Amino acid sequence: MANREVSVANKQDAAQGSEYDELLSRLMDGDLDEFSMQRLLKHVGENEAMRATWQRYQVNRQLMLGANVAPPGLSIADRVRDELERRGGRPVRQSAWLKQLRPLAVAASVACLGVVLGSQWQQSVTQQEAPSIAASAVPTVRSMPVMPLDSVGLQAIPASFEQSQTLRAPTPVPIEGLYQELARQRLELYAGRHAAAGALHTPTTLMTGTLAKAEAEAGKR
Amino acid sequence: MGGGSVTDEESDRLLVERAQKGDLRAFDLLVIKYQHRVLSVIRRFVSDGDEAQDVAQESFIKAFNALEQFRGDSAFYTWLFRIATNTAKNHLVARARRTPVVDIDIDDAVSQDEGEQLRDHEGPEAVMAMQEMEQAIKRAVAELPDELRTALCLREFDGLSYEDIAAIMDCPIGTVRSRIFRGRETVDKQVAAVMNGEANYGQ
Repeated sequence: MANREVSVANKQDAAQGSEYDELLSRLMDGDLDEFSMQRLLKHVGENEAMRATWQRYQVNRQLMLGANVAPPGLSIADRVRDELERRGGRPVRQSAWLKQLRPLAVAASVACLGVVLGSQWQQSVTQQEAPSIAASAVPTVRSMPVMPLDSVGLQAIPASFEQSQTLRAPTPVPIEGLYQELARQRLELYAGRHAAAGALHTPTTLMTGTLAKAEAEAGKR
Repeated sequence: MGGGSVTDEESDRLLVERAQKGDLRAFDLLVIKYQHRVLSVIRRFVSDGDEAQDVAQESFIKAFNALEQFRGDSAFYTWLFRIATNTAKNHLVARARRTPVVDIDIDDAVSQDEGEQLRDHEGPEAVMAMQEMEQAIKRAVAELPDELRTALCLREFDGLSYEDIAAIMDCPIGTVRSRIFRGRETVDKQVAAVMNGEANYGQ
């Protein structure tokens, strides 16, 4: 009875093995659907004999087609499988997003280098030109420039993160005295004309020598 | 023979797709399939057998790491052989050895008769075993029942699809699948019997 059960079990195993061998045969021809592929791979992972069968089928095909290949052996495949399993079955590679960032990082580095070198060059030029700014005569009101810088041939001084720039105020030129002198002169002129006009339009009875006096003063001017 | 066929490419495509998703078992089947051919290419650069095996292993590891970049623009075996060739050359450079006088083109490496290389590098015992297997295969195919031999030959030698074979043999596709498999299975048993010294296997 027991022998009969073992015999039945062996036949079932053989039938199952034959079924998977047929899947291997279909895989050789690229004739497997996704479901069958999953079943086959699962079985291959659990059954070492399936790997050997696959190897023999491949060698037989090569020999049948006239190629001379070495007798079956799985040494390299075993070593590769062990090595990949030791690594956890994950490919050792750079992640995709890191690869995409690489050109951006290079571009950013070049840009930073350009900014640093550019600012240093500008600073050296500015330091050379600074004294001429202070020396130029810039009309000011309360010590502030009143003319566009470009009109007197000056350049703007760039900002810098590394060094502070101090714009020395140009020496103020006093123009307030000039305005006061001009106002005083105009006031005197208006006063004289007003006096002359007033004398000319005053009635004769009230003149009593005033007109003559005014005309005499106007004549002096 | 060429390094591959339409049959190989379709089979490889299925396995590569699975391997690209991280299925080690699928990649294992690819390694088993190509390990001897890759080793044969490498031995044109590296004469020492153990060293050649190390380089072959390194080539497959590199291929696995780069598998995500494989887009199927060329056949998988061509891509794989290119990796193997470059790995072998790098190995020689690293060892500061003299590189081969004649640089081997990958297409030549793929199409060149592998048997000649085997005879160049393997010992006489391996060559004899290979010749025995070759004879056993021919005999086994010749002794197959007609329907099995026809289905198998139309598939292997003519590269016909199951549909075309079914049309030629006037039978369902399922029958073609079964006949091709039974043909392969019978040949495999015959060859195994010869290699194990059981010449009268099956009689």
